[in-house]
Amino acid sequence: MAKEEALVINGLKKHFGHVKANDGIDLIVRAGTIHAIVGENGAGKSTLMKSLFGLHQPDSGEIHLWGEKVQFSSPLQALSHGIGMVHQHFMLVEALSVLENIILGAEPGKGILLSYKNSRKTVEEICQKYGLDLDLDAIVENVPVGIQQRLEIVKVLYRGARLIILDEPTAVLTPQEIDRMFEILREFKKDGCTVIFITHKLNEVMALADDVTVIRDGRTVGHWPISEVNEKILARQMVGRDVVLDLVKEDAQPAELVLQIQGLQTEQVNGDQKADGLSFNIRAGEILGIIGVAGNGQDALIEGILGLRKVEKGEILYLGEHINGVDTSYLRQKGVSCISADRLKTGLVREFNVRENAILGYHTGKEFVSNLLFQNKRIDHYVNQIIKEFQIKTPSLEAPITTLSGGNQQKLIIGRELHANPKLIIAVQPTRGVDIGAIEFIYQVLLECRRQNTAVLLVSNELEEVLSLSDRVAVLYQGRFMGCNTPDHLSKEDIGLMMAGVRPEGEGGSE
Amino acid sequence: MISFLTISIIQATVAIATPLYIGALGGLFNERVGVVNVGLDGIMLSGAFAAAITSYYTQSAWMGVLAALTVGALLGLLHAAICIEFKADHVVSGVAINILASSLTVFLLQLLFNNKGQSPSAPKIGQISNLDSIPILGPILNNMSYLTIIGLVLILLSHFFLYRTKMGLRLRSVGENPYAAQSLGIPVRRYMYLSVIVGCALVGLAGAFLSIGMLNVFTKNMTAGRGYIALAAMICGRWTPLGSLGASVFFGYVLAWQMNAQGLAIPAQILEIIPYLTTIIVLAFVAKRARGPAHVGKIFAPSEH
Amino acid sequence: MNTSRLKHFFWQIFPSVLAVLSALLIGAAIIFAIGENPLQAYAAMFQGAFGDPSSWAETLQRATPYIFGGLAFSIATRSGLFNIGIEGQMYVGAIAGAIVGFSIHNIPAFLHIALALAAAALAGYVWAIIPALLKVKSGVHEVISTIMLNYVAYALTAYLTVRVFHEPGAVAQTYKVDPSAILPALMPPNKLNTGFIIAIVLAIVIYGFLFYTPWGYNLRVTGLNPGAGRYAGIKSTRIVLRAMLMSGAIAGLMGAERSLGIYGRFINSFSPGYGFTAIAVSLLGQNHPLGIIPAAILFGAFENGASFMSLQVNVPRELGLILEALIIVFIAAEHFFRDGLRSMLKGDKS
Repeated sequence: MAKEEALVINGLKKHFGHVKANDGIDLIVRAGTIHAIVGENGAGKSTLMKSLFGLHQPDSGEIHLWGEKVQFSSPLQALSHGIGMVHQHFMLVEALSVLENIILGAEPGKGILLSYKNSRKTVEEICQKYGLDLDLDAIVENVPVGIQQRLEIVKVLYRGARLIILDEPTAVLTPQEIDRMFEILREFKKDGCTVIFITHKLNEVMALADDVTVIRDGRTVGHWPISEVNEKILARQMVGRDVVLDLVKEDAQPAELVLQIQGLQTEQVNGDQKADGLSFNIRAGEILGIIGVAGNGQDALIEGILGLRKVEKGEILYLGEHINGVDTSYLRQKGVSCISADRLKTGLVREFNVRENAILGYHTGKEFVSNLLFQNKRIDHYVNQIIKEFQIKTPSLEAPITTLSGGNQQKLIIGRELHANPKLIIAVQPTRGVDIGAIEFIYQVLLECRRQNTAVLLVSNELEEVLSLSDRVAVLYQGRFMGCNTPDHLSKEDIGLMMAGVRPEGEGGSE
Repeated sequence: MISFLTISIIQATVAIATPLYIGALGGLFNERVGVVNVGLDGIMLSGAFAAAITSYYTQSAWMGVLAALTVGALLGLLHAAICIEFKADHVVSGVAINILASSLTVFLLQLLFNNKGQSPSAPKIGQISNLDSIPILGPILNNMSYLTIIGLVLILLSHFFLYRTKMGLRLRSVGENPYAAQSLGIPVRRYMYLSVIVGCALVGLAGAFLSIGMLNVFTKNMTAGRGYIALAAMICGRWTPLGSLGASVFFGYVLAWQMNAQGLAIPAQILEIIPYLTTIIVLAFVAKRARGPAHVGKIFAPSEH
Repeated sequence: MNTSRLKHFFWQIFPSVLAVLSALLIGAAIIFAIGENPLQAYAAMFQGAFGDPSSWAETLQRATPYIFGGLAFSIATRSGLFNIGIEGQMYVGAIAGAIVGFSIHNIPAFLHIALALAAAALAGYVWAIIPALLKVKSGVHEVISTIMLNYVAYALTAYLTVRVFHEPGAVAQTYKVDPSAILPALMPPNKLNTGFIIAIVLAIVIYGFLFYTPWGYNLRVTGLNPGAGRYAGIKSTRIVLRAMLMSGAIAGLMGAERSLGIYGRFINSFSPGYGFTAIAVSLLGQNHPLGIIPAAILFGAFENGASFMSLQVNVPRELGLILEALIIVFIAAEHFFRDGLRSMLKGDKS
């Protein structure tokens, strides 16, 4: 029974217009195993899973589940065939309670009436069995992300899924939480469940999976038992060439103080974590990395510095000038630039073309405006320049920004933000959702900025990224720093503990 | 002397509140599945028109009610199709419905009765009567339209439906996060369509009350913004049936008091301002804390998500 | 380059053209249903709208408030606000213009007109401050607050007309405006007046403002993605407030054109819903200042043509209004048309 195949996919294709999201996917998942699917951003992993889950209908190809050919036209059918899915972006109804979220769509009892009593018991049993602690009456919007993930897993278990798919599940977890999650997944395996684990983090594949399938450009490149591969082989298969993310990083030569922050406390905005007494300095030619689980005050810190959120207490000094509460546009003129976390939400205007997006935030500058009017020739010249310098692939200056790939959109933002030779760059998740080629390029650019004596504040939840780029690393937890040190004085375990709010022994405070 | 609480004010309050809470309930069924409907006013007007002319031609007020429900449901189908199928801006669709309703009703009045102002008088919906003997309650209940009672029953039923049934939970989840609902196998679009259609049918019913509940005739643009006040009542009532009822009674009282105060030293035009101003002021205090369904007014586009 | 521009232009106006054609088609069905010949009716309509110079003048006269109103709506929409209160802002503008028109005497015409127009713009502006502030400070949705303010405006102008500045006559009306404040007619005896020229100039100015200046850029960013605007240092609340005020001021001018150019006084509830129809005009013109001009002229033609038609064939002239309403219904479904046809064209190729 255990050797049987839980899922077989043959030649699956799904095209969106000209985009071939899936263009020949083959997949064999043995029952009772943990199967990793790896691929770069945009390789087609999510599209594949949506086809499997009935959210898309594939253009061609076959899906066999437990030996039976299936074609799901809605998630309901997938659910009833025992498929459970933990989506990358949580599928939770924030205004409802944890219990309501778990039972939603599969409420117990025969009649039309809701009964929480029976369901509570069932849910509590599941939680107990796997040691998953949940407050069933909490309203989801008040629950931290780590717990929301746990809730998503309980949802899947409650429906009695036999094939559990997890799409990039570790992005919001601390290293310790990730370990805990792996234990739970192994527990599932022991109980005879089959687990499909989608990720782009190769160390997680090696630690957890039995088998691995690599996807590139919408096609299956190959699949192997985990014993036959290592991270290097997988990386090469994933990208299609050798990956050398060896960064040439000279010793830091910190010069004058660029940013000094003393006891920063920001205003509480909705349910967002506020900055609660942050102090640090950044010097020219230095990269300060800030790591933390999303939602621990990153936004408050960045927006506090940029003048987008009210500062209640503390001092912000930029090049010796008090900048508490000054306008963002003033800071931009003074050489503060920001690569914001979410391209399409805060970095670009979806409906604008490349040219219009390339001047966003700098559009009032003398360079582009005279006699109150835009000088289109000068703007075109500038846009062509950054397109060339940052190797941005675009059909024309008039092309809508959404026709560019994520990596090229990000390069346009970076080109724009670096064009004015800033003295301080705030880079928030600068490599989120871009391919390896773009990641390499962006790392080089940030290191070049450091060489050019720019101060860089790097905010990220990619541990590797922060450790390899930063000169100093600070760990953010609930709006405070748990510790700050050079990367070689911090072990991953220590950082993980600090990300979870535990101060490791013998660890000093911030500077 | 201005009086604030007399039998006639109470009776007028109830009468004025009826189309508001039925309309607010209809609006609620739109917004609870994430569809904003500023076309409430136009749907109410169409319902009023359909009720009056059907009642006139069939000489049966209940046929008029049925016609109002049907026309409301049809306009709901139109609104749902534009918002869900064509993924258009909900507000634009609502405005289109309002303009369509106000021009089409006048067009048809002209065509059918050669009169742009009003329809011929038609049979009214029945009223409670012969309750004079009961003290206090008797005079209040007397002359109360059956539709008022039906509306109250609908409010209670909706409350029960939304908070005590499985379908109610699913419906609420659709307006909060349709993607989550969809991932759990809930047929999101079906819920949206049905809820919008039922909601708009209720708005049509509210319109029927205006023409053949309170009066016995349809007059041009007779809603006079009541659809929008119903929308405001829904917001003040925090998107709940009971809250909407409470807010509607409040607005009804303000309107009733204002009508009662006509003929005093204050110019009529100044008095007319009061209900509208009250709506604005109440909203100014309530709006910030009132939080609607999280996905309201947004386009549901599963393939792009 | 040139062909790609042309292509872009085609895709931009395509949904509007299709919406008009679809509305005309349904209109034809309605005409047919009431037992008349649609072709005959439409021919009469066209004849009435564009048959000779005087019908042209009447069409443009009727288009004028729609140009103003369309501009008012589009500028608010481009900043992300749905100004459904143009009607009320227009009423207060109209009466403010009239009050200046009949209260000040013995000053040069250009000054008198300028003062009256300024008063009208100011009144519309003040009327728009309320919903703008309510939106920004208290989060009250502008659709409800502006509608409520429309009713307040009706009542307030009625009060001023009936109780304060009343002049007896067949309708409730104020005193007559001094001749020096009257907007000169362009093609007498038609009432088409210099207000039309002002509207056209305003459209061109707003076009330049929106697409060629940093302020217009700020406004468009705020409407499309306030989050990105925030990080770019654009203060969205300030922009939204300003856009709403500009919108109100233009609506005020819209009213003044009627009171100073057409009636020579303020007439109680003079508007057949100009402010609402203007929304349709703006949407038909894709909220583009230069698109609004042909859209407004088309609507002027519908109304002018429809009244001529109603004399020729037995179709009520409200048909014009119905066509207008149908147009927005179809415009609302714009994406459906655009994407539908695009995929059909692409499907044919492959």
